[in-house]
Amino acid sequence: MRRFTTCIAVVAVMVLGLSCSEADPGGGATQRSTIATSELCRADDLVACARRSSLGELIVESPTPATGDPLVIGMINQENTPAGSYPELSQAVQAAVSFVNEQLGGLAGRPIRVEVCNTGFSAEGSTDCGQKFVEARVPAVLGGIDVFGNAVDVLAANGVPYVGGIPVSMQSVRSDNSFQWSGGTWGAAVAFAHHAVEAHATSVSIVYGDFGSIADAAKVGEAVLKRAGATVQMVPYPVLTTDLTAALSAAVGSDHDAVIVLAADTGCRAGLEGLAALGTRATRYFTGACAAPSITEQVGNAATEGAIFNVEGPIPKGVDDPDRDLYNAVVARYGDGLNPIGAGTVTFRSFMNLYRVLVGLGADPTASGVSTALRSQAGAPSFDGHASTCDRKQFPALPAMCAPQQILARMHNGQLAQIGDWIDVGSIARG
Amino acid sequence: MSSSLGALLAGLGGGAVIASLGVGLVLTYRSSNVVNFAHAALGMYVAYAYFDFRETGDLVLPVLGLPARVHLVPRPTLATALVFALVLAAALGAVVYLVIFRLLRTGAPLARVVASLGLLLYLQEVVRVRFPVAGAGVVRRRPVLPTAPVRLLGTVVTVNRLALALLAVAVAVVLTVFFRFSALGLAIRAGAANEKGALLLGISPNRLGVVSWAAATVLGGAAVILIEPISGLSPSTTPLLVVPALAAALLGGLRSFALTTVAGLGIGMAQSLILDLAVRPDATWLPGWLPTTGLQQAVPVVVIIGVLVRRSDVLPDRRGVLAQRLPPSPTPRHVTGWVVAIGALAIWGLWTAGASGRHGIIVSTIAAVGSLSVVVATGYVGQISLAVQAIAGIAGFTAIRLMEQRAPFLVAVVAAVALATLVGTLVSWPATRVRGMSLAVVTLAVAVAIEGLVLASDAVSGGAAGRSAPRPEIFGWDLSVGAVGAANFRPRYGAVCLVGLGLAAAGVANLRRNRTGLRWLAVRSNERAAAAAGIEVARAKLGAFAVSSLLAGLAGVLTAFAVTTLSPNSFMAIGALVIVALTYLGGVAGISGALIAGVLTQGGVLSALGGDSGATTGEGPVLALSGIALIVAAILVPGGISGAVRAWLPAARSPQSQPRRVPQESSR
Repeated sequence: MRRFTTCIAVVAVMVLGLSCSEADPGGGATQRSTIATSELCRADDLVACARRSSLGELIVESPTPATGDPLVIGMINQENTPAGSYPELSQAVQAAVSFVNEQLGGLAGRPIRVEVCNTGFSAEGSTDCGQKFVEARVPAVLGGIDVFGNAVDVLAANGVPYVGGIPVSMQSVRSDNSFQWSGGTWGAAVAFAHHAVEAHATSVSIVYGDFGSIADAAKVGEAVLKRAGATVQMVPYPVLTTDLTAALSAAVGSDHDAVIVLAADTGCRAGLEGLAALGTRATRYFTGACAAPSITEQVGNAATEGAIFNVEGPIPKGVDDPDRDLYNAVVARYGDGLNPIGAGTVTFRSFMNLYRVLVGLGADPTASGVSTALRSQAGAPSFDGHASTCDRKQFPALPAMCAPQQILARMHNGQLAQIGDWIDVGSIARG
Repeated sequence: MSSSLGALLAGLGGGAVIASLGVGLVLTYRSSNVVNFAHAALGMYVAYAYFDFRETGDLVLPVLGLPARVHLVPRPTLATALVFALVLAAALGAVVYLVIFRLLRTGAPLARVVASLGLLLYLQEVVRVRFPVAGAGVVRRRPVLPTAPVRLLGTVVTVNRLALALLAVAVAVVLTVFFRFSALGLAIRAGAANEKGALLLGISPNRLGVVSWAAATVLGGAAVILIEPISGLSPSTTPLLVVPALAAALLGGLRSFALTTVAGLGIGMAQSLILDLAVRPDATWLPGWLPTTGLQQAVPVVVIIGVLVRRSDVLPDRRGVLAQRLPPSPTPRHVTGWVVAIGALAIWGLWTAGASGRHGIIVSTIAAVGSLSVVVATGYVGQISLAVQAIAGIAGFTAIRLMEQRAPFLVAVVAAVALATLVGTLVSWPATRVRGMSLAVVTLAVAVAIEGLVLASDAVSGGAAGRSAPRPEIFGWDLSVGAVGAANFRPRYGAVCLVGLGLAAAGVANLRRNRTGLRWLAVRSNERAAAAAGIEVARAKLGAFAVSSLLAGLAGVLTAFAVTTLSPNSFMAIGALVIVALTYLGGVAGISGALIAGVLTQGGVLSALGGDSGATTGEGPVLALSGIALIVAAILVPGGISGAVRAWLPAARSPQSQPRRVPQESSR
């Protein structure tokens, strides 16, 4: 035992001795990615930014800070749980709320307050969240991430609209009183399948996480490909997978023309690196989350070169992207350190689209009023996204989707280059 | 080279992940008889700290309440960061042993399970609080091993996967040699085999424990750091890598480093081969309703069970007998009175509370039925089964499917519970030969397989969409839980759940008081002595598991009609650990413990009373506190809350009310 103690002491000395530094590899201590706010959108003049954005028509002449009794809106999210915590989704919404209240005058002068309910990653928690907002008589509930979706059932039974967020439960895309401005994995799968068909791929492999919405989306993509006469190999991998190599090897083993990888962001690096290592010549498709700069920089250009990703907004050809500029500026000002990269963009968009509807309903909106207004949307602007039409017919079997359209982009030399225009994934899925 | 060989090699990386974690598990078990469910979680914290230190030069402290960071060096080199991780892991392992597991050296195996679960929860919360990230897309981590591809036997493997597999083998060889030939290794083996004997030889079990836990945590930390480019790093998934690692450790008998490594590599490669065979375009042998991923998980489980059952004995050796130390199981008294009193209180609550209060009562009632299942299997018979969630899931979805086929509500309930009983008994068949922690791991593996193979099947659960239960009716009387507005969570469904719990509690109390219960306690106390007394041990165990499965099935059925949509996620295998831990906290050896566990359940009565019905906006480290509570309970209150209350109540101290003690262990 004495020798062991000595060993510990030696190691401690080694630590002191090895406390040397190396050159800063990236120009700073932190390795977190950040997006610089556009020079066109200054933090001290966000109202001017908002006027240039898709919110422009909602801005009154001289907005003043909102005062008085706040209008409470609900938000359901999964936070503080070991099974995944997504506080960035509610942080982005709170940043948007602060901006709207302080600089845009709230809702006809009345402030908006968003109450976040945490599902705690359980069906019971999700149910409780829905019930809580039903009893609070909120006019709408914003979505975050809720794997179980029981809250959507409760809200729908009581006529309360469930609005936006990351659609990961089937209820969130199938409920008659849910409204979504993201195509989710379904949109990505159909866009990839469509592009593969257009590129005359006759043999395609779909590698997908075998859980929830991702598995369902993979089947929708499979149907599109099969309808076009392509041979499809489905390669699922379990939630708790130790290594994607087995699935990727199985996918490239049959020498397909295209490989579609539908993975959560945690599988991006392994997927990109794995397919590159296997040296496949197939066209590779990955969800947009995998195009995050920190991921692509880590895996290197060789792994991403030529890969195709889905995005939910046009890639600006110049420097001016008013909605994106406003988002970055608002997050920088009100985000309390929130990194602008990530899924917060989706919930920010959700709130802004809801805000557009609320403004049209005055200072005291009701749940039925919000639902009716949303249902009547046809080609309405969607913040940093495709125009919204909530006629329940935008995507087959997924009536909640109001703007599932997708854009694809190819990675070249570490930069995304847009491929064509918006893809109407709903009509493609419908056949 | 054949495609099958390529598929086997493609599983090398996954196998290396399993093997590298499995070796650490074996080290902990061999030295301190602890199956450390928090092994991967400890490694996860070390890995997070390493990657953070590599970029910032900060030491991120794992103790909530202390300052989060201490800046050590400006920009550490790779060597500095690795040494930092090594020292941090060793210190963490030593502290964890000294503060937690040293105190549980002579405790029940279940107490150690609960403590390791508490540690797992605490570490998950520490990582969530101390390393907040907004998705995998915003963090950069520089890998330690090169990721370049190399061709091997005609297929492509990356260097890091190959290196990790070789490292796992090398570590297994070193540990095998160390344990067989070095003085310290022999001392650790001696201490684990016979602590008193080792003490007489001047070997300090505490020092050995410190060394072993430090070494195991270093192994775990190194493994998670090295597998990060392969498996990713996340507080939600990384700690669960312990499940496949446990399977490998189990195949190694929780003793052999070499066998564990071979088993780990074998499991990874077998799963890869199964996937390859299942997804080949010409694979027509696989029925469409059978989930491919479930098949990957199930096949190794079948192999594990086969191996274990084949090499295990019907009766344990003497060490196995000595391992049993569970709290006293008091004879239930005044059952009718308690059922009426608690039932009346709950009925009063159902008809007077608001919607969230009613929901809390319903959730607690169902959870209490599930906990009763644990009380029977673990508290009465001493068998740690972690398949309770899987069995509940089978019953829940069966009831819905039967009602979709127009079966009356009561018929669907009875049939679903009967099926759960049958499946649960079959699943528990290994319990006739496997026991203690091995049984816990086997049942967890079986639960994972059921989850992947059965509950994930579209035909059973509806897949991603889940299933919504039809409206339950008895003689035309609507018993459904749902209603519009504040009338939701209708009291009448709460009453149905209460009737279920009342019947279950009365039934369990009756069994505990009659000869069946005494046989169970005898088996729990000493299987060899019970057999010598003429008790058919295997039959007694299977009987208890049948009752336990019946109760789990009842909880599953009640859950199916309590939620708007029943999802497979509601029955995740790992959730069984939480149920077992809560039951332990309530008091695993008695019915009152199950009731307390029900009250404590997330979204249950306690949450509703606190205005926190599982739907919170709280920022506080609630989970960390829960983890600490579990650890404290495991160390200080082995009888759980109900045991502590009984000890404090003056009436319970009178000789008349003392339960008849069954000898807990034979003397040494």
